[in-house]
Amino acid sequence: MKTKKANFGKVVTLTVKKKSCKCPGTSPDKCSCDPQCNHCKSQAPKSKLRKS
Amino acid sequence: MENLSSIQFDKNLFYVHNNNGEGIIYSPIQGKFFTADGDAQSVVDEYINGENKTNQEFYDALMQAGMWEEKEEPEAPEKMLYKPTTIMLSLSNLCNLRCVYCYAEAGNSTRVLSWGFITQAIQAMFNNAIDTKAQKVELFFHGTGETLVLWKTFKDSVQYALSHKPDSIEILFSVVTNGTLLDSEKVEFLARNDFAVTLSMDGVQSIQDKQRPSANGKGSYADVVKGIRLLVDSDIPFIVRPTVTGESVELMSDFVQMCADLGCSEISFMPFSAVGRGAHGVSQLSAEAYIRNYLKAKKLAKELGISVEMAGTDASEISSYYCDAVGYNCVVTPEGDISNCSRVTNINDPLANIFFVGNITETGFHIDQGKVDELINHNLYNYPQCKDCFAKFICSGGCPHDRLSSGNEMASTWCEIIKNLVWYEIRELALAQ
Repeated sequence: MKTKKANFGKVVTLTVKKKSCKCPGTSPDKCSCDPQCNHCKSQAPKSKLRKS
Repeated sequence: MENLSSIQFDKNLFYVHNNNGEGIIYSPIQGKFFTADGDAQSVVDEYINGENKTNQEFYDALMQAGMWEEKEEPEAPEKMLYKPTTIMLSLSNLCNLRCVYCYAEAGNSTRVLSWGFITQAIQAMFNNAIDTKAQKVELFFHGTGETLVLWKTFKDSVQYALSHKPDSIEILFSVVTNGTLLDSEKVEFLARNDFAVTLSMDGVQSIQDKQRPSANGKGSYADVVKGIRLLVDSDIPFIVRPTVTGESVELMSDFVQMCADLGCSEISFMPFSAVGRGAHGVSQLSAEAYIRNYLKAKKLAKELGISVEMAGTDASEISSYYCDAVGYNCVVTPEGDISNCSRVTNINDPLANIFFVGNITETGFHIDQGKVDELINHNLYNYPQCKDCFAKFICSGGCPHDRLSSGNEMASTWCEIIKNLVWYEIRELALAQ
């Protein structure tokens, strides 16, 4: 893509995971591991480390 | 470090650029971006300031790139009946180390969680799982002191949980430890119970011994290395979690090399927070030094085949809140109080009135649901500071404890680190196309 003198590169698209889950008391990170979870269908986390 | 500026020219669409004419058009919610160099800024300006956004060519470029596709923002946390199925036990304030920045000022008292409260908490966890039909629960040992100081209580807690667990429920165990008390017996126990281990360690010997000294003043490096070797030999997966100060920042790559030599495969760096014992006397960290050394360390880690990360900088994970301290956490303090923040475990903490939501009694949990509900407000949609930031969904507004400890705003050092690390990540990916 080229517009005027600006140089635009190719588009990169990441697979974005939303980490919002309403499971009571369950971390969004872990919830996504659980195939039974009705709220969160996103991918499993890379690690079990918490942010806190 | 780049001196970054950003222009938000549509809802969740940004032009981020440095002073050298290098830029990125970035949609964080879609995870889409592309380089926009040269005179891109003038094109963006013309597009924004033109009548009815007149630069059709630029509009078409964005259209072609799929930047106008509708995507919902991450949901804000919502009110829910407090039924935690993950319980974080802070067994005591006892600690064999005296880390110079310890947020809990561990070792300063002899507060110990009673056995009665431990069993009540575990039973409540199972009852909540039954009530909510959850199939998994997690018992997490973390904070306030070094868990393994009370080895017998720790072991008894795990065994109590296993022996009282309903058959239909799976239980996961996690522990955060300084690693210095690990021996063959303890490591075998952790392995047998499939523990997820986070090991706090700060650096090469000079740094570890200075920042994380033993209670008797001696260095702790030799003991933690011994613990790491045992974990590696037992094939227990663990993450090394170093806290970076102004003193250790220039040695981050040395630390990565040392970890790789020891057999560690995951490192999660975190800049130090000036709270607790760290509020005074700890060497301050500059954003420039952290960013420069983090990038160098990450590059080295890649060459060595291990992982280096920092929470809140992964552009592929977005959220409106940083952690579960929005009404979802359940931290049982040594006094049997229930907190939503693992850093706030003392009733005298100035933030206890925010994060404490109840306590354990002889009949079980006594919860103030109204206090739980108020915690949902700790999300980035309520932070004016984050409103126009291109990295807001990735950083998720930062640690609420840090924010509340510094006048309800994240320190500029934090923001510069996050923005730069996100920039470097997406810029590198974009240039690789």
